[in-house]
Amino acid sequence: MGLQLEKMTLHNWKCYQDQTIEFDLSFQDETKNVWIIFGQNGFGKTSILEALQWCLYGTGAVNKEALRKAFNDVAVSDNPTLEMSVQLTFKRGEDSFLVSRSAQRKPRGKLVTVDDREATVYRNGRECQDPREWIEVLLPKMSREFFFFDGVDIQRYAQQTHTVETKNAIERILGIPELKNLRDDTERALKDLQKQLSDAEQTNEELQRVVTELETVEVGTETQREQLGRAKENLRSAQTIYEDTKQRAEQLEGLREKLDELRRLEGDRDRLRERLDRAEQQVEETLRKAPIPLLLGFVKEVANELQGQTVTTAKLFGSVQQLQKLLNSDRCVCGRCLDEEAKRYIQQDLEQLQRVKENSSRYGALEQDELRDRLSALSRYDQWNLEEKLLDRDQHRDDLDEIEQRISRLKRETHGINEEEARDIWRKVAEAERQRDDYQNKIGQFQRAIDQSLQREDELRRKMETLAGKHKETATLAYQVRLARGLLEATKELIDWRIEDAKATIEEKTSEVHRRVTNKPDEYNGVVLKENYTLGVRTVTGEVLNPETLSAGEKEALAFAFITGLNLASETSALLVMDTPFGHLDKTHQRNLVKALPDIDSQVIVLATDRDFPDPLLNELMPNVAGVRHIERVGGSERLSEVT
Amino acid sequence: MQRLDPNASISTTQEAKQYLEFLKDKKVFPYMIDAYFFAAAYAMNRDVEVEPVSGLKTLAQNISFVDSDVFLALDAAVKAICKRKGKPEPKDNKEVANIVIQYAEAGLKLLKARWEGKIKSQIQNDICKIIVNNE
Repeated sequence: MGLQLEKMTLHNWKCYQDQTIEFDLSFQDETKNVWIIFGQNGFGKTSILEALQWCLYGTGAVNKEALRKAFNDVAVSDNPTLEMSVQLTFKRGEDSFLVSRSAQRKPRGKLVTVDDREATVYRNGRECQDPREWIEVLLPKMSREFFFFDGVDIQRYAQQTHTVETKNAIERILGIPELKNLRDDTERALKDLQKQLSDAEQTNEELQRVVTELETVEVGTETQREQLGRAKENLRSAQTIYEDTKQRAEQLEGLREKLDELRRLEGDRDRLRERLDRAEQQVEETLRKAPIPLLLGFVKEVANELQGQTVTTAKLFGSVQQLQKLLNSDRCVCGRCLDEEAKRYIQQDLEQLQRVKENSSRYGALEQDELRDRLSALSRYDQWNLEEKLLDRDQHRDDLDEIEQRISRLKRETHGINEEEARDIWRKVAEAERQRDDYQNKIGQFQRAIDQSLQREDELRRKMETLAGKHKETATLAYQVRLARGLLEATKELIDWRIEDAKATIEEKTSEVHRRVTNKPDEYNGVVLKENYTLGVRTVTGEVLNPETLSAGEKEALAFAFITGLNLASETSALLVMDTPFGHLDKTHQRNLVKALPDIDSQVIVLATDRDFPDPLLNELMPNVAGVRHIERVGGSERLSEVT
Repeated sequence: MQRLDPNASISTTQEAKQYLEFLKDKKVFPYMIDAYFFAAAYAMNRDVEVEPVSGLKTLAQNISFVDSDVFLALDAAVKAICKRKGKPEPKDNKEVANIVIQYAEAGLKLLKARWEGKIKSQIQNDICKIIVNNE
């Protein structure tokens, strides 16, 4: 862990009369990096943050007018010429640093001025001669907004453009200004030497022509370098898009088989539905005939009865014919003569049988026969088999359920994939690859052009040296020009390398943190740091989103990731002091950000209200909390607070 | 033998109609009249004691779409039951219909109690048991 705050002493600063806040670093537990100072709004949280900044940067952080009002009201009423002071004790490794600043209130009639004194710095108990430089080493003023920040103000780091101040602060953390100073100094020295050389050989027309051409070539080389830089930037984006598109294509390739299976199963499902419909119809038809098997006993009974009636009717017809024949004859079938009494008796029987016969005819013998036949056929009914048809239907239904489950699963797995995309993706891969190759070719072309220009510069310089070498003074100058040129080239290369390297590290660290704090880890695939240090969020499809299109919570998540990423990427990580950073966020972002605090490899001091840490979240964070302090009012006065 | 008239209307009590609607809505039977005739056959098969019913309302205006063999089986059952019980055979199709209605109403009450809490597939399986195992 880098620089850590060990103790803070406030004397007559705002609402604090004599306050010491200690951050016990003796136990050195790396997992406990978070300190929380709770206080309600208006109790003096921001005053602590301001005291830190004033002690380090004086009126560069707290202006004179604000400073005039910073003296403790209660103490001022007793002593108008009050002194106030802030002392900070830091630790870094084995070194201890004490930074102290004081000021005195000076009333002159109604006018009040402030005597704001220079800070003093002690390193391991010994006073340092140049306190400002030491403070710059510990916590550079220009970068203070990355160490001490207001929770509400944090979103501005996710803006589409940065202020010059912010851009400079970022470069300051990356150590770029020192390199740029070296480059500018070298450039100035080179120009100066070239001017001297030019002056010395003013009479030499050829030398003058060579110098002019050299300057033209140098301008051209510089332009080509800028074009090369832009092409490299474009190549980086094109490479990322190509890799993302290829990854997506490979994913789709795997899903293509599933899409084919899905189509096949959908065909099977349609056929099964038809079969199920047919099976349902058969069940319905069978159910409609369900009364028949229950009534078969009755049907058989009536069929038999009708069969008996048919036989009786046939017998009846035979009897009528026989009696008629007997009446027409004089003799009985036994051979004896029939007397009148016997004939009358036969006549009566015959009339009775005729009546029965007439009745049978009236009912319709044909209909009776048909009814008998139908009942007889129905009594043999044995086609009813509901059980088999129910089994058949249930089997089809089970098969359909199973296939629909498989379809549903495949649809979930292939959600968002469509045939068009699957067909088109490899075309996109080829396009992205071509784009990347184009930029690679352009880079090659620029590089070759630069090499040619440098070669030409070299030729011109040698020529210039030859021409100038005719005079000793000009020869020396020419030599110095060559050395300065070499140094300038080396510095430019170093700057380019340093920026590229630092950007890659910041991107990596910021992306790591962003994945933990964003609400959409499945949609976002990292953070892109652009040429001007503004940010973009890369989606899984390779698109880079403008941060200003993000929701407020996502903007803050991105800014938080950037600040912590920047802190992690800097060579000397420093403490982070956050003023009420989470209370205004939605619950999910609040939780994500709070849970990310232990992962920051720095001391984190959070000035918080209860809303920043709801109880469940605080309990979750407690294993990583090194200490909790509370700001309380003293004697119920709004002008006095103390940290307990 | 007197026959049911397929073009005549069939009536039921309000309670029976509600249960028939339930069976139709649950798709146990395709039509209410199918369930109604099944209930009649169930009661006839079990020789249930019946009595005249009142408060009837029209269930179906025309039942000619019912299978003709179902009609024939019901006609035969009415004839056989009258004979078994020593009652005169119906004189016309209205009397046949009245007897069928009495058995259907009685059968529906029994089936409603038997199928209480059962779902469609359970009821259809039970119809199999009623017919195959005479349960």
